[in-house]
Amino acid sequence: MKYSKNVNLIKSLSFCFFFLVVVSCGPFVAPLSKTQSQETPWEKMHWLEKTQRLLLYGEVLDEAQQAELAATKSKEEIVDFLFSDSRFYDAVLDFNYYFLNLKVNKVYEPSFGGRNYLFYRRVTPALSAARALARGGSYFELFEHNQPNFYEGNQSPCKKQAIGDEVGCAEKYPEGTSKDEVREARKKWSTLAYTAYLNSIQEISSLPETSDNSELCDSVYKNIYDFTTYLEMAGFDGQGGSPIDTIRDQLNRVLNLCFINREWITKSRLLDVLNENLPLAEKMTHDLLFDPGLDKKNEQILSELNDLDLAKYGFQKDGRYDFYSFWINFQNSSTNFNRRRGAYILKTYFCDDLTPIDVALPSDHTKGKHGSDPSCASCHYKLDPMAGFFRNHSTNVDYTNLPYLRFDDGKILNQADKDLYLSSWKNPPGSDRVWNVGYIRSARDKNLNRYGETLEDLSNIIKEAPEVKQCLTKRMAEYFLGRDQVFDGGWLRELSQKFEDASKSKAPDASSFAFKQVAKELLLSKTFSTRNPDPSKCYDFKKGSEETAVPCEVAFNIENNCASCHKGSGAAKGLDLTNWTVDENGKGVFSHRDESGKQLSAEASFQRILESLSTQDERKLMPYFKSMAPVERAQLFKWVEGELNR
Amino acid sequence: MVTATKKLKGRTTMGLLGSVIVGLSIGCFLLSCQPDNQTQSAVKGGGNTIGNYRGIDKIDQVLAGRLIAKLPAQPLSRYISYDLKGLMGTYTTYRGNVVFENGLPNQMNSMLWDLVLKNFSRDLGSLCLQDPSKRSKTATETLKSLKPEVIARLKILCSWPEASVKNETLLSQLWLTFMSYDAPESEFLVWKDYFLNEGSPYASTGGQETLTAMITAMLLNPYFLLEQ
Repeated sequence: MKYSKNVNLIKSLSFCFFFLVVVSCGPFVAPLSKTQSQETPWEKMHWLEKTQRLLLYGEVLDEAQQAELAATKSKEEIVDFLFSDSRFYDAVLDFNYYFLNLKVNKVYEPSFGGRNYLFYRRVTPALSAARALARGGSYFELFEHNQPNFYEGNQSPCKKQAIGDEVGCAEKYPEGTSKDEVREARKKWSTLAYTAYLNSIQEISSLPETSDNSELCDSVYKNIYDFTTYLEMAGFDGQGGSPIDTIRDQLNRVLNLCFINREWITKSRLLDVLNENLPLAEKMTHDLLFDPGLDKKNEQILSELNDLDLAKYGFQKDGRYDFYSFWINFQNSSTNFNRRRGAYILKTYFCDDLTPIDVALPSDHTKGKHGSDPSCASCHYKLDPMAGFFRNHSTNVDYTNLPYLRFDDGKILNQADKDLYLSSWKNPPGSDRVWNVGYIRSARDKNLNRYGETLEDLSNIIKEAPEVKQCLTKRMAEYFLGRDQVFDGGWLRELSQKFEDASKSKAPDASSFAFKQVAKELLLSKTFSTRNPDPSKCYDFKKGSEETAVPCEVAFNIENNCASCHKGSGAAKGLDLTNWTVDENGKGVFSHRDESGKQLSAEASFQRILESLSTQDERKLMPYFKSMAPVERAQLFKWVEGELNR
Repeated sequence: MVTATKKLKGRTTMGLLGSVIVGLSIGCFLLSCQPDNQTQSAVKGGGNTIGNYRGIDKIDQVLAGRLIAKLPAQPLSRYISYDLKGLMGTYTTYRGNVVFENGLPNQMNSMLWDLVLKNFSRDLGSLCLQDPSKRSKTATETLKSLKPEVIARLKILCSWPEASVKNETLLSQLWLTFMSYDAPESEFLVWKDYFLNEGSPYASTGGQETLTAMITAMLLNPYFLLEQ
């Protein structure tokens, strides 16, 4: 058969082949490259390509630059060179979103039109940390609770902080916005502000009064929020005593009624307030355009509004890409009592995904509280104290000093009910602490835990806990080397030590330096250089150590927590966790002897190990009367469970 | 991909098998295109690990950087509606958590990738049309957006099957333009040999058809499409 006749056949089949190749064959298409002691030029270029894509946020240098780099610089020098490119901060920003569990498809949106930029100004540690890294500040801004507001134009990590401040990113984001551009931006925002105000009057006029007035309340909230936001973007700093506050204060009084009892709202009352303040709103927007004093006062913001990257750092309308989104995504309710928020914090910052594992708990630990059921308590013993940090916060309001509390689901607690609600986090009278709120490492040894009361305390715990640096390192490894790749725990611990050291340093940029160091080590690792690495295999190990027979995924964990008793011929309970053998079917088992000295089957052995890791019987829970970090216990538990089910 | 295609040349029974596979693919769609779970663990089957697609935005970005003159650009957005992009590997929110969805290859997303990249290749191949007015509107827009050096590298191959363009240097340039070093050198060698060998099915086909086939084969290569 001539090929010309076969073309259609091949065309029609190519999808099938493609699908088969992708799904069934995956990386078999070409033989996998082994890690080679002498790298071919092709493979070095592959490394360069991959490295650029990671560090320049998907982009690459031009061909001539790449060729020069490959020919003249070592890998380490290449990484340093790429760190100096402003696009690196886009990559950092992208990673920060990944770390915060807010990964986006694009950190900036190529097109400007038709997008809502209101949520740009929300607080975002991701942006702060990327910006700090670019400006020689602390990368640990990522863990900071109190964040600056970000306006649309000042979101580039490489943007000048203030006119005249030099930062290292000017190359990609040239400075020098013309007066016309500045005025154009001001005009745009002030017009939008005034339009939003007029919209609120129009919309409310057209809406019916209903029993709960929800439409009226939503409308006024949305439009006035838009109004004040646009004004702030355009130059009003919103500090106390400014006209913007006068209007806002008036409206807030009305809006507070929406929160408490919407039936008290009347359409005419809302319209009165809005119309009374219309001249003021008009004057403010007018002033923004023509007042030279205001011009000077807001020079910084206005110039930033005209950043060439006006459209670059695009956040979507729902605002989920910034830290404010935390409050939006993880709302409290009269049933979850902030536990969703607690779970997010544990998962995001501590890499604790709350695997339900039974652990022996002190009898008083969950007494009389939600989560007192033993199976529920396996998570709630650490989840509830974390949720307690948020006990006074709804999405919009801090109720600490208010005589009531309104959940995001609308349920309102009066003072008595609020006291009852708060009491679930209170320790009994006479205890050394008022609140049982904090990060719980051990249910047995309270000295290992970190307690606090406020969001600031939580922020400090996050900043100081070594688990968070370990989690950050783990996420970096996932981001740079692959989400499904396993890593030697000792290697990761060694890398995270760089962050730990940085946290003790007085140099303001120590953590930023540590971030680059860790990134560099990951990019120079064997895992990174290996094409199609086997996800179940470790390629890099702690300095001075080598791969052991024990699966690398858990070897470090076992060494740290179990091997002191379960090692060698005299291992406790006949279980030697350092002696791993694999049978002809590829199924592995530890050396595990029963009472008669006979080797247990893999299934029986793993079953016993699993029971020792997850039991409410304190005498049986391993490690024997010692603490084990919840994350490490969960990792070992899940691994054993996986082996058991293989 | 090329290897697999080559192996099947001349096997007429594959036509029937192909239909069966397409039927199964569509039939299985409802079962398999459900959102992947959050962790997206690598699936192990027959000793081989299957990677996730890199995702539509990432591939778009890579292609834009390699081919398009004015950045930022989304060269594939002309070939897939916004709504369907979500089926080709994107980050999205699921119960408050961000997950990479539809990254694991399944019948549906593989079909979409196949369609999008083949249409894209076809439009690039239409550069060889003598009469530009015969190009589709999409093709015209895509070609207009390319870097001049990319146009030059494509155009020269329009003379295929002339002997002067059947050389390794030109094919190497084309490969690097689209693939850079994403795939091992062995992949390039197989691809190059497939088109340059005397017995190649493309030994005497026209430039447009050959160029389209060359680009299709590159873009559907798993080393290009899958996360590594």
